[in-house]
Amino acid sequence: MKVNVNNREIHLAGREATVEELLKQLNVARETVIVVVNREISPEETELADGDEVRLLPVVSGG
Amino acid sequence: MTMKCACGKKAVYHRRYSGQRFCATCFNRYFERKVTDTIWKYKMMRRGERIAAAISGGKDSTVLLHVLHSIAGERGIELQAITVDEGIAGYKDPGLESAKRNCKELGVPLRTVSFEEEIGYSLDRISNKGQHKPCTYCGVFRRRLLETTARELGADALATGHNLDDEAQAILMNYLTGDMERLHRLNGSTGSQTMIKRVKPLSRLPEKEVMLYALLNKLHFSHAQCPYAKTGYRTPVRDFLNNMESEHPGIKFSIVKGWERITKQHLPEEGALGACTICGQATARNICRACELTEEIKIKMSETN
Repeated sequence: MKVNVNNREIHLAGREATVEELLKQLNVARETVIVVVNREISPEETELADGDEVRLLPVVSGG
Repeated sequence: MTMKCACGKKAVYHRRYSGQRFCATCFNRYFERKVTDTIWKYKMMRRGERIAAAISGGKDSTVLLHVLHSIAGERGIELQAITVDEGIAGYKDPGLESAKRNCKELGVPLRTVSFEEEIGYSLDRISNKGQHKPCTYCGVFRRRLLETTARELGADALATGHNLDDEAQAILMNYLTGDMERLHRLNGSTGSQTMIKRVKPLSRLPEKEVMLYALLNKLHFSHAQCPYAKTGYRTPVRDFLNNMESEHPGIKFSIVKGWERITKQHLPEEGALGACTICGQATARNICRACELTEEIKIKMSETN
């Protein structure tokens, strides 16, 4: 399965994957991002589908 | 399978440490109630008080300003805002613009103070000459300007946008350096009688939830990252805690709750503070840290002139 993450194509093993599994593959701690799937803010347990557009918005800002 | 909120709508957030799922409407309701519960539980403010909100234009203080504004009217609280221009090229301008815009929209009076005018030099200049890390000067001078400005405004308390992550990081950092006095002083709600009361209404909300509230409510805030942040001790502690929290939900709460119990049971009451012999501000030393650093900077600047 292929998804687009912050304008980068990412391959995920198998036919099914959740946002949480995507974050693990990218080595991103779930506490550090808000996840937007196909323009909707989504929990990490959301199941992804081939071709989904994912945006990871960093939580940390400021100093 | 779509995850649902208890109300039946599609969830936007899974709060893992409690197992709850929230839609946008229920999340906003939970968030605002949590802030007000924190304010009243820790007696942060009372009806009829004047509260000065320290705002940087970043997400935390922007959320703080909006939530305080939403409760101020019905709770009889007068809200004012203070923003500090530290003088950090390329970083601070978006924050100042955001602070002005939010205050104007909400009708909250804003007072802007700058390092350049009050200390004599911008943080960029100070960090070029000073012997300490930029975050040391920035933290000490910013706290000083907020304290003196809040007093000038006649505020009963100074509210800051510190969230749960900030609190857990500060506690862990003080443990790591063995600094029990600073650990005790984190309890800003009680504070010293000679200093203005400092309150942190977002301190029981994780940073991720603060960001989620800002995004769901389409608040205007600065996303800029301070160029000096990487020089501080905080970044590795923050990364460590985020990795731990991802694997063990709830540890940030545990750290803060444990610290509350320790401060209640084992740490002595804060001693009475004296007055700085230079500026007269409350301090446990003869000369306060702000005056000490100001003197150091003056000497360094004169050496290069």
